[in-house]
Amino acid sequence: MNIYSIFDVSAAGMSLERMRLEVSAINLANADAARGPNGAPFTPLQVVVRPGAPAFADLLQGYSSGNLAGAAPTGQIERSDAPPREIYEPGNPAADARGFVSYPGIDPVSEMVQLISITRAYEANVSALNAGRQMALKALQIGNGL
Amino acid sequence: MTISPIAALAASASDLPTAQLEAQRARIPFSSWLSGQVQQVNDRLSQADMLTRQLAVGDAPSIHQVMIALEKARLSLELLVQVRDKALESYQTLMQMQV
Repeated sequence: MNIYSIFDVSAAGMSLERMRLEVSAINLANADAARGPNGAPFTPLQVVVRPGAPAFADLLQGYSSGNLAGAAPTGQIERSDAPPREIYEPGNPAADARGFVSYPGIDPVSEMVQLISITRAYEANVSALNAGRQMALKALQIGNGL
Repeated sequence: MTISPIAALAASASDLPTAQLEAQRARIPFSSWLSGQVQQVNDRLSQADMLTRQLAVGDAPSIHQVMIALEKARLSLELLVQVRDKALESYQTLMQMQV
């Protein structure tokens, strides 16, 4: 099996975590965006992670061909259907007839927790890659010890 | 009631891709195989170089892709150096043979 396929799988994981970080950053930045161009508040985004769809031949051979890159996860940015937060602000020009302003359904606290989880997941991918690299470098030392 | 263990599929040696690989390998001379591998290492190095330049001017896809390309290039070069050492070592052993 190819050592570089470990790198490619870890790279896919890192790209995924980066995408999740971007989406969290967008959500946090828009947490107070009450009125968009169409009058509705900003729609929170989320990343839906799907497992990789390996090629049929890879499944059949139990990944023995070493082509693991097909098993890497893929992420897709989708709109979250979290309901908007309604806050009573009668003085706000964006308020409705009852005096409530609809803010996007983003919880800054859970977004912060999400950031921690993303950071740790990214680090885990780096650790897996480093372990693979370490193994390859050690394998290259076979026969060098006297 | 006993459950019989799952038996391995009886694949004949000719079905496995390794058999075809061996046949192909026999036809390629070592020198052209080696220069092909050197070319591959060179490709990896130049790709890592290109990505580093892209990072420097600010349009690299992402930092981790640049780092991974650099690591791939480094590993390939390391492997090439080890293969060269082994080849040189065996050559010198042959040259020092008493006639």
